[in-house]
Amino acid sequence: MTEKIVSKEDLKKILEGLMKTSELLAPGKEGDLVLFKPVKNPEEVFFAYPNSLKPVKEFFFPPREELFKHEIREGKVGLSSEHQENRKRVIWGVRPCDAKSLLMFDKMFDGEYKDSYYLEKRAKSVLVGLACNEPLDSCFCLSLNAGPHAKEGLDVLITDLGDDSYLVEGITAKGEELFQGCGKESGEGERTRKKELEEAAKKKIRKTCQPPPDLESFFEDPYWEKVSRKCISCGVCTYLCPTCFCFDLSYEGRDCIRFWDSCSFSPFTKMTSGENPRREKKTRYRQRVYHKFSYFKKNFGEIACVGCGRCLRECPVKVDIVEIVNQCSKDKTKD
Amino acid sequence: MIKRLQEKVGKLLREKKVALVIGYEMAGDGISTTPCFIEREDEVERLVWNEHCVYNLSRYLIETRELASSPSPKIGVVAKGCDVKSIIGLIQENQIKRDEVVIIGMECEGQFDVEGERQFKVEGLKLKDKDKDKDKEGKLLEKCKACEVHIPKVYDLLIKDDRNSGAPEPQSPEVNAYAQVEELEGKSQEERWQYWKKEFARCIKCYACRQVCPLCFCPQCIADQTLPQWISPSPSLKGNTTWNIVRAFHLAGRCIDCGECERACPMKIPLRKINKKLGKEIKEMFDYEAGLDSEAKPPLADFKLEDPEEFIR
Ligand code: SF4
Ligand code: SF4
Ligand code: SF4
Repeated sequence: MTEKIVSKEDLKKILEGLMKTSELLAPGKEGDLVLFKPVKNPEEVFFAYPNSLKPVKEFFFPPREELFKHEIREGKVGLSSEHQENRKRVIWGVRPCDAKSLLMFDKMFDGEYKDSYYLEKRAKSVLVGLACNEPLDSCFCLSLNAGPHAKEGLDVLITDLGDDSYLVEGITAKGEELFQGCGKESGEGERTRKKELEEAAKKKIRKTCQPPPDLESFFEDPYWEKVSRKCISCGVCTYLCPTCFCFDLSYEGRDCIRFWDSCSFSPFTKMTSGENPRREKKTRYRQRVYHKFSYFKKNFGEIACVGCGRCLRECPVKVDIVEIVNQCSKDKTKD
Repeated sequence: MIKRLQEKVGKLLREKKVALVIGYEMAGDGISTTPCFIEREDEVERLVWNEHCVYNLSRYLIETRELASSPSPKIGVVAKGCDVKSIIGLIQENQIKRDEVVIIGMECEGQFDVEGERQFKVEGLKLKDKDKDKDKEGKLLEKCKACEVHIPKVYDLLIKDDRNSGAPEPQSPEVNAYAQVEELEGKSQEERWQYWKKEFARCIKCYACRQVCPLCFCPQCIADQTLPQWISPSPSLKGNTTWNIVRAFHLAGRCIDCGECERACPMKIPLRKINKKLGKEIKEMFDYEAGLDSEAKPPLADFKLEDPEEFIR
């Protein structure tokens, strides 16, 4: 693992180089929104932002993806699939929470079932992280085995040290390669500065997520009805969540399309018979909580939330999943 | 104002006039509010009122209507002047009965735009404007700048703003409510199409616009139908455009311009502009505005014998 100091100028040069050799995606402003998009001009790459509106999952698990086409030729049905571009792809400015979420995606799409569409995109991508010095009030990654300077899931991590200098920490060979031959060695002072920034960032995170160990025992509790009452069953929290991976398939003409789906929607569990086990709103909201804090943990050993806080910030009616999870055991004893 | 609101609601609950009151309470961030459901008198202290009460709570009337019975208990709902319009819409369209709701009307000087909040998300700034209502005008929601119903037109109880007691009813500022629509109307068809293409391309089909809308109450939305599938469910320019147009058309002459769809849209698609355009057309063609009269028939659900169009006769 190498550490070096690069200047803002160096970073710009690196970005310019990457634009030529690879597909380069980085956060930029679109109106008032911060979204990842293809970089056309390194000047437009946004460095000071809490997090992008949409997580980077969209580049591995697109909101809409053509899986295959079917054709009928001489009475026979054939399938064809467009070949994906295999050019190297660099995703620049990924926040540590989002990088961690991709490791959860790996458990899902690179586990018992190998999803080739996902894996191809994963293999060709390099993740350049950007440490958070200014976490938001709604961030709570610290209580979920992540942190504002966490490296897990990244190929390289950049920390803004102020004064136009950046500490670059190589994590994987893929990541180190991008910064080869630039910058200078880091000194003691810079490493101390980085430590200070990390500690200061951690101190700013006050929200914590503490699900009760016996969450399962609350399944039938009237609590869920109470806390889900204001939920409007939209897809905001699930679509913007970096760890939500549910999808549906549909045919559009001859194309088989995979697209995001959400457990908040009532038709999500509607069966052909017309039966719908999650017709009631509380059962849908409870599903969201249990999938993250119970089922995923049971299946893969960890909670499927990285504490990015997007669902809290973007929910149109301010449903706060952390508050709901933290309070559920207390509420039970109260009633 | 908050004290009086709490007292009035407490009284309604005590006297069993209402089974439930839908109101606002503080959210965890200490600045925003969030919808709340008050069923017991000892819960009334949760109720608040400030310039962050953006939500149109009449959206919850459909879900809670089975709790109401006539003559009582009823469902109480805290409502601003604009929200009352959608309650009228729901009565007009037989979704609720007038005597099943207790409208707790709020005198409202305008609600703040989430702009500040958005800035906070984009730039990482902290929101500290809680008490600084100095440049209030600048922070107001677009719809509030052209508001004509600071005092609701219909209510059962009115909570007046203490700051205005005795003062004349606040006048709506001289703002052209259709300014943004007119600006777009001035552009060529090609320019308009380019504009909307760019906006619709961002749609992620989260349906927050539909879910938050007080008048989107169809038990099954056309967008959710699979046999046949009228609208492609995946987000693509084609499907997004169809969705956004269908949504707007189904609300033509019904939309009361609470602006909730635009507020809820995470991708910040200017949905209000589409609604307003249709509202403007309806006004010009039928001399009708939604949400003013619960006895009136919405123009697209009515016909006149003297209609000039052949097909309708
Ligand atoms: S919790 Fe909020 S964002 Fe999620 S479905 Fe409910 S209303 Fe939508
Ligand atoms: S559940 Fe909410 S906070 Fe947790 S990862 Fe998903 S969007 Fe982020
Ligand atoms: S709320 Fe916005 S992004 Fe969501 S479906 Fe409606 S228009 Fe699309």
